[in-house]
Amino acid sequence: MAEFFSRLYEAIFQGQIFKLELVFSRIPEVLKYLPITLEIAITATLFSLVFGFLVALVKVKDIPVLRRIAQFYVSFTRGTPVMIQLYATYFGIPMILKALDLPSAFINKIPPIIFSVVALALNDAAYSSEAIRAAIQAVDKGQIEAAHSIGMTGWQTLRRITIPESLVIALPSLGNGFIGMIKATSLVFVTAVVEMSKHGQMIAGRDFRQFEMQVTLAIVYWVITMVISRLLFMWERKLKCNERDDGKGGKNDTVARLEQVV
Amino acid sequence: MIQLQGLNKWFNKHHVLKDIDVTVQFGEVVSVIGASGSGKSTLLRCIDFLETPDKGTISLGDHSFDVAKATKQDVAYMRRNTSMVFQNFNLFKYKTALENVTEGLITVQKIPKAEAEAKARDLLVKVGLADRVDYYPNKLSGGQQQRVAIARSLALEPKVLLLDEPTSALDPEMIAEVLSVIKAVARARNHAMIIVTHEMNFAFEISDKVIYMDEGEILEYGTPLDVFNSPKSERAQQFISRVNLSNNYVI
Ligand SMILES: Nc1ncnc2c1ncn2[C@@H]1O[C@H](COP(=O)(O)OP(=O)(O)OP(=O)(O)O)[C@@H](O)[C@H]1O
Ligand SMILES: [Mg+2]
Repeated sequence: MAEFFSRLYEAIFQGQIFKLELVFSRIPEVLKYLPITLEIAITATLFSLVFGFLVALVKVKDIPVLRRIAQFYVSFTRGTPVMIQLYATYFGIPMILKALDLPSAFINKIPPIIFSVVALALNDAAYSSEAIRAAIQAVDKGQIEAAHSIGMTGWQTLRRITIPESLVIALPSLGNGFIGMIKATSLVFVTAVVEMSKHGQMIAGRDFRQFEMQVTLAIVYWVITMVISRLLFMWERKLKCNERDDGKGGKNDTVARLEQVV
Repeated sequence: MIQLQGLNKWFNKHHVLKDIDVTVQFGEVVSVIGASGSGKSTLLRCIDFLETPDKGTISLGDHSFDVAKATKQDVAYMRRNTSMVFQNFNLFKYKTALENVTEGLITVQKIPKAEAEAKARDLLVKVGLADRVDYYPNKLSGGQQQRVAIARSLALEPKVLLLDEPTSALDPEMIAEVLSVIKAVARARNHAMIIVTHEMNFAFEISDKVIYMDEGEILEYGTPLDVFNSPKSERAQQFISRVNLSNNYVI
């Protein structure tokens, strides 16, 4: 037993098999590609919110044919792997554009990041739409009636009362979605985009120190998602402080749920 | 004036308002009393089009229409010219007292922000909340919230002010402060006021007319003295004998 541990110790700290020092020394190099990771995650989340909101509206307003399509979209997207959705987008969009008679010179010039953003946004919207729908339906009817009573139109009520309030209600799930999104960006190499993970793997490919690199990446993702979930929690608490049952600042479901994810 | 003629409302098969005829002059105060479930709230909500009445006509000012054929414009007209004070206040919870009052001015009436704020401050002073302008609803007591809600309604200068049991959700010690604000509004006689209330003394004191409703019908309509002291229908007699009106009002 003692021998096993001394061999393990050597392996780790003498750098035979595992070089611990390499795990940390490569963090700065990996971080150079963090902006791309965040750029993809943030743009995809923004598109997901807009599209998810439209899908949610279709469901809340129960619009006949569109409702069916929305249902199919949500079920299909949730029931298929993101990896396949990324591939499908990467190969599918150029085909559709070609079928629309766009010049291939134009199609070939589309930056690959667009495919990854489209695929991730469409994937995420299947989840965010559900969260937004539930939130819209949870908005207090009394406030909507009050808005109507002071003469606000349906659209004004939606824009001034329902949307802001449902975003507050949906923030915990949308926050979870954003954290999931950051992790999902590690798959976009599929669409020929080099973000943080792919960049790390390329560095590691040079000296075959893949395992150290994976540990580096894991630590970086972990720290980022921790920081973001903290920020989201603080934001949520700030928004919620205008609600009746706050004040004590106790840990609520949100943190618990976010911490589960992280 | 606002005039309802032959107004009817069904919830599925349930006939909740039966041929309601009511006329209220601008400046007049009318109280609506009656047992729970008699249709008092529904009547007010139909005027503000929070519920859509099924049959009858409504005239308000120089605009009149058949409710069965109410257009978007009719609904917008009614909502712009009437305003409801709710039992549960229904303040916008992510807006301060001031923002609650300016919301309608800015969004609906398109009044410039500075002007809207000046007007809102003025109104909040009038309802006794000069020092609570920047508070969010959850930091206000029930009585204060209801006074903000009254200011929010008054801001739009509605022709008709509807109040649905404005003090029923309040702790007893806060009822007086809200009633005194409503009395002041009533005395100003700027609106046709229709108040659903269980505060019989208050109704007796401020009303020009009292309506007694029973199972969707208006059984009594008259001055407070007529309705409280010599109701014609048996149902109204029973109802009024059950609610104790303190003696000093009974002449
Ligand atoms: N949205 C609705 N759907 C179905 N029925 C309703 C609805 N709103 C009210 N009702 C019914 O209509 C009747 C009248 O209700 P309303 O709220 O107008 O009574 P009310 O006189 O205001 O009573 P209370 O004094 O309890 O407030 C009741 O029987 C009620 O159950
Ligand atoms: Mg009622």
